[in-house]
Amino acid sequence: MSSGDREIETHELLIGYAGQALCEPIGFSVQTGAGVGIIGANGSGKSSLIRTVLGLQPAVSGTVAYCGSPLDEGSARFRQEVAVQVTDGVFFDELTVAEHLEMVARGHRIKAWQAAVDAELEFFELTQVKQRLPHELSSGQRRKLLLAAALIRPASLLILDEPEQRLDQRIRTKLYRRLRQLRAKQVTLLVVTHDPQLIRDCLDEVVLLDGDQVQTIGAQSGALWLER
Amino acid sequence: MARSPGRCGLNAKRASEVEQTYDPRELIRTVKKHRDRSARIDAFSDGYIWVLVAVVALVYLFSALSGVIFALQGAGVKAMQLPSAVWDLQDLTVALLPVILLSCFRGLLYLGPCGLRPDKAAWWLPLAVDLRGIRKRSFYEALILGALFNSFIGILWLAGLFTLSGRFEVQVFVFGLVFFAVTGTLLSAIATHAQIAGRARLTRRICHLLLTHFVLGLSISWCLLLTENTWAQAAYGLLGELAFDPRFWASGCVAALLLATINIWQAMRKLDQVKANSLRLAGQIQNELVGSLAQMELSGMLPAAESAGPRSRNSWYRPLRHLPVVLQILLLRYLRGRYWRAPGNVVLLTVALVLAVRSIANPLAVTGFFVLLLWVLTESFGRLNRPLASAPGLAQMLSLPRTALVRPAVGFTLCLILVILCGCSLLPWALGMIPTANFGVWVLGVLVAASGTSGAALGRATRGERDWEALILGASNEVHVGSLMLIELRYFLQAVASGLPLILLLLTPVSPVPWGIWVFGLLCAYPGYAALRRAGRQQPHTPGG
Repeated sequence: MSSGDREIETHELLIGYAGQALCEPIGFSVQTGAGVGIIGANGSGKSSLIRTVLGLQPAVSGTVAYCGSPLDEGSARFRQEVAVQVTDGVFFDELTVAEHLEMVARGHRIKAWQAAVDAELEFFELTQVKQRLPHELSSGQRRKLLLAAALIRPASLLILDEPEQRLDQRIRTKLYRRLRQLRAKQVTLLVVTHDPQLIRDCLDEVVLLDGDQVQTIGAQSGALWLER
Repeated sequence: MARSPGRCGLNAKRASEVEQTYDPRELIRTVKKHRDRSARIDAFSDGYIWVLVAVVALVYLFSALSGVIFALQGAGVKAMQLPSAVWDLQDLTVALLPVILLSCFRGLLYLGPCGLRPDKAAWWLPLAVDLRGIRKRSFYEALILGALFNSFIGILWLAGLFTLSGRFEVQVFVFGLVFFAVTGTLLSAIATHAQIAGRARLTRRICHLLLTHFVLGLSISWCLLLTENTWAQAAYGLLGELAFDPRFWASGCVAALLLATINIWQAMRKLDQVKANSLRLAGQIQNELVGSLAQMELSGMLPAAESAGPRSRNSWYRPLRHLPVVLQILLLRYLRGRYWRAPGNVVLLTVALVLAVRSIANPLAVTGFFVLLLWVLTESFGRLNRPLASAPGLAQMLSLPRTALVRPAVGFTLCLILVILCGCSLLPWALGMIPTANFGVWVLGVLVAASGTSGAALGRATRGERDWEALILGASNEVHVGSLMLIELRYFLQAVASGLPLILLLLTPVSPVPWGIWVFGLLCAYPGYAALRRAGRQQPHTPGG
């Protein structure tokens, strides 16, 4: 397999803080169009792994490649192709829900941005609150806005950090259906999750961070590990 | 597999139709433009108030600076002539100019200097648009920050120089001010180069090394002056003359302008190479700094400790395991949080100044030292005690009544402050400012001051946080803001007031301290005793206290 088939590839990646590693070196790759999850106990380094992969946090050692080249978060290609939702939410105080989505849609060169914004608002059931400012939203609504911002834009790789958090079951089911549709369109998924249902519905395999051990297992085994 | 950007989203098919010139800042501009009249007036008046606040703060700073110089020179008070004191305060001020510039540079490196506010970083950096405009804007802001920061420090330095020399020269002031402003932009541009190269941390370490070497150089020059070396004396004389030579400042301005132009031009060319994460992190630090300023909380302005330290160093803490849990928490916080650092620095600086600079070994300066020390101890121990004194969750977690946390905290604070004040008493004692006859009274004064300061630290630990930005902008009149400021400062005033017997003993060692002062000092010390007594009475163990 050529490296061109691998969207994300890590080599001997040591994640941690202030030079201290959280677990053993991690080597995994995400094939184009695949769905990969990252699971583990609290504090095992799942979010740190995602942040390191994205370049938001320096690695203790090792490398991360995006489509065979060193990952550069600032490169035009990366920004065009990778949609990310990893933060807990920082918003512009002065912009409404709809304006946030408008900014992302227009910033990703979607000509019919108004229709796209309306569609996302409807999908995430935010139409009623589209003129509200972020501080007027509930935590669940803010979460939905972040997910909408990640999904409104065109992307070939979608990275999500615990997308199921603060969502009610109905929205979760809708979201998972949407993620399955994206997989069908060859969109690659890299997701940190604690939800076995998400793994079963949308992913092929998971990277399990278990204490110092790191291993790649099938989706079914990953879901069972979470349910044990 | 062939890659096609944009397989995701409800809009995947529309991705090829591009909007070439979209600027995400447009939306913010539009929102601001569509503000109603009253919102615009509000925005203007907010800016006006901040300018006013800055001018008032500058005036107060000048007054404080004059006060400090007055005390250091011991005006009207007889100073001890120490054989080791070979510097004049004015010589030292001139020699410290590189330290000021280096510190400013280090500060700019810590701040980024190019940064993007967290909201802008989160929403703008991932967009598939040309980010040059956004990067340029953050660079211009960094240049303005550098110019303002350095000018502010420069004004204080020039004011100090003129006050010490007793003369004012307009040309020196104007050229000096321009020099500091231009040097600020130069330092900012150089710091941007370090940020582009991802070497900001390394550059900060080099700065630290340079500062250390500069202090070493100063110490060597002090040794040379001590041996009456003519070269060193001539060098200091020349520096003193240059400081008042307008041509020197004008040449400095031209050189700084030239270097700034070159560096700014080069930085502009490489601005695309600033890592997105570097902009994001710098924005976070700047945001935290603004938040700290808005709450008048000094802790946020200092770099946080990156970790609890390596395991080998943690083995130092093993013996603490045998102590009661609250004492363990206090000791670990004190050591790991480096709360000893600020008072330690004050003591070191004072001792160095007293030993090396003429006229500082005077009762007024030593009094100033004690006032500053009590102030710093209140702030330092206030922050140390904050989780124990004002976080009910901790008491609940430890299944202890809250008073069982407060009592050891006050006791620990009282003991440590007592030790620190006793140690610091060695300075006036060595300078002969505490006659043997006053020894007992001095010890009593130290006890009162320690109690007062520990009570004040406890009060400071339990204070509610205030958003000064909102308070100042929303204040209906100056009296309201003034009263709030007084409430905010009351713990510091309490600590200093409890030290009044010590201050009087230093300033008038021959006359006894009036009983009224003792009563006043004891009243200020009372909250500390009361906290201890209250905690002692409420012993029953009710989880959550």
